[in-house]
Amino acid sequence: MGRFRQAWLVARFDLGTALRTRRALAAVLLYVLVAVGTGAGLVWVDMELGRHFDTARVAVNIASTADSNVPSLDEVLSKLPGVDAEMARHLLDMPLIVLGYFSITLFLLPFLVALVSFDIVNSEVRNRSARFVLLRCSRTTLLSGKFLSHGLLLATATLLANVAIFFYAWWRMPDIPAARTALLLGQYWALSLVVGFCYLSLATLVSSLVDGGGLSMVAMFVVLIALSILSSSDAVGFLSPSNYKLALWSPEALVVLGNLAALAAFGTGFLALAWLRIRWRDL
Amino acid sequence: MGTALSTNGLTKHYGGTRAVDGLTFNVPEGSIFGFLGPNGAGKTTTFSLLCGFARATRGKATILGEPLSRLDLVRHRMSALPQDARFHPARKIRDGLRFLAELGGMERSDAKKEADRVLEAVGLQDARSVKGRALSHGMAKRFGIAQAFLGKPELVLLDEPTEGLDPRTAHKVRELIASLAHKSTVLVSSHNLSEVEDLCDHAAIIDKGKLVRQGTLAELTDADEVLIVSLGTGSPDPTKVLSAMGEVVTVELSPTRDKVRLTLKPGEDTPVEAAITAVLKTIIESGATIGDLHRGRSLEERFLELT
Repeated sequence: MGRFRQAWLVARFDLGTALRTRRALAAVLLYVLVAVGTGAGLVWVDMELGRHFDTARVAVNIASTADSNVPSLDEVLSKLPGVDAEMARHLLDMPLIVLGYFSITLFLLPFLVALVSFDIVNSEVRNRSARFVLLRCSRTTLLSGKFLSHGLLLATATLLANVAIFFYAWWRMPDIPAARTALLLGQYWALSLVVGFCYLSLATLVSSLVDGGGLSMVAMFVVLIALSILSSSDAVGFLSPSNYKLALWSPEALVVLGNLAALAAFGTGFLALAWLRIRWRDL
Repeated sequence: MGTALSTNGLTKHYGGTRAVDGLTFNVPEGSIFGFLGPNGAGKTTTFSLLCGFARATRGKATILGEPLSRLDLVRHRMSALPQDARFHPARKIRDGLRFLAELGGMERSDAKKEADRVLEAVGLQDARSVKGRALSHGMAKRFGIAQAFLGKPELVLLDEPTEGLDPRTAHKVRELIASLAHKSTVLVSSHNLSEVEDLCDHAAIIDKGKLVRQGTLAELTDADEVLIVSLGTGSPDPTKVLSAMGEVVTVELSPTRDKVRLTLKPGEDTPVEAAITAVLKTIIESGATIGDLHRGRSLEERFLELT
């Protein structure tokens, strides 16, 4: 039997287990709640304050045009680290729901991945149920199957969250540009999959290094915080995947692709290290 | 007869502890091979190495013609009962067996039938919907045995298959193992030495991670050399007449005077059966009666002597 079929069988069984243990439901609910919660907040901002958002934007721009001492909104945004004038204009041109939701996704996704997949490898090693599987397939196949299962769960949960926020925003603000919002949400969902891949690989690595379930969750959170702090360093910030998330907002396709490649490279590296660890350790 | 499994200097260290220490033994193809040793002798670690759960510190092993490093090539031809494996707590055992059967290469429809077959074979047919977390120790063991009997493996490794089972289920499991004779090679570890004597044709005894002795059961128990005869009540002492026989090297009467233990050395052209017949004839002619007869020492006696 081919390794791909075996990996798919492992993934299917693992997904079945996630459904039966309601872990999948919990993951989807978590993502959808974050999405709807974010959406509610953003809709409130847009309706209560943003009703006048365009007016305010115009007013600020008029003021800045009239008085060169008053900075325009894009000038304010371009002062933020990692944001240049062109990106600031690009961000201001975006529906607030997309801008806000994708910002929160980029910030929260690593933590959501940590919550759902902290024991991706070590749960079955710890309770030794992996041994029955390893009598029939290789360690590489087991790892591939588990990763595929968690990857599919992540993709499904984030997709449903995107759908939920779109319909929530549409319901509360029927006048939003529906097609453009849907297109942008879809585009950023695809980008968040690469981010998700990177952090799922990191969770796999941590889970292969730390045996205890609770301990691996704590370790994962510590690593995430450490990587966030690392990314703020000018000298060694490039060593953290967090460093490459902001540039995903860039209007330049090449910049986005370059940063996606960096995140994918981090993900591949984490996964390769996890594979090496699983390959050589006693299970 | 070829070799289904062999190890050469297999070694596993856990920190400073040598769990398996240069272990070398061969399991002949088609044999039911007993793997014996006291607690902590290294049996389970050896099974873990042979199943690929643990990495050997040193040494080699060959399984169905492939080195341990290429275990992937023969996984579909072997199965095992790992002693400490547990089934997934959240899944029903029938689903688990179907999954494992499919993973072993069966089609989905065949996997369902095969899962039902092995569940029935270990008496778990009424517990098919029980989840892993609800299995008792005995049921978990039976699940482990069931998954080891999925398909038609050429090599079956069973670590303590009857430990913790009730007598009826243990008997059923022994029957299952015996049914594999000459079709598959079985390596079975057990503390139940009479079980090993009944089931196995070959065995290895290990202690402190090292091989102490390996051979056929007859070789291990000296079946061709030692004869133990239980005498009938009121029988006269036959030792004097037996000592005079050419085939007999030593004769020993038990302190209770009801058993004679003989060491035989038949001539080169004389089969051992002829020597035994001659001994029995001499005992009867001495006026004694025979209550029972046992060839060789018991495996327990041998085990205690060697470990």
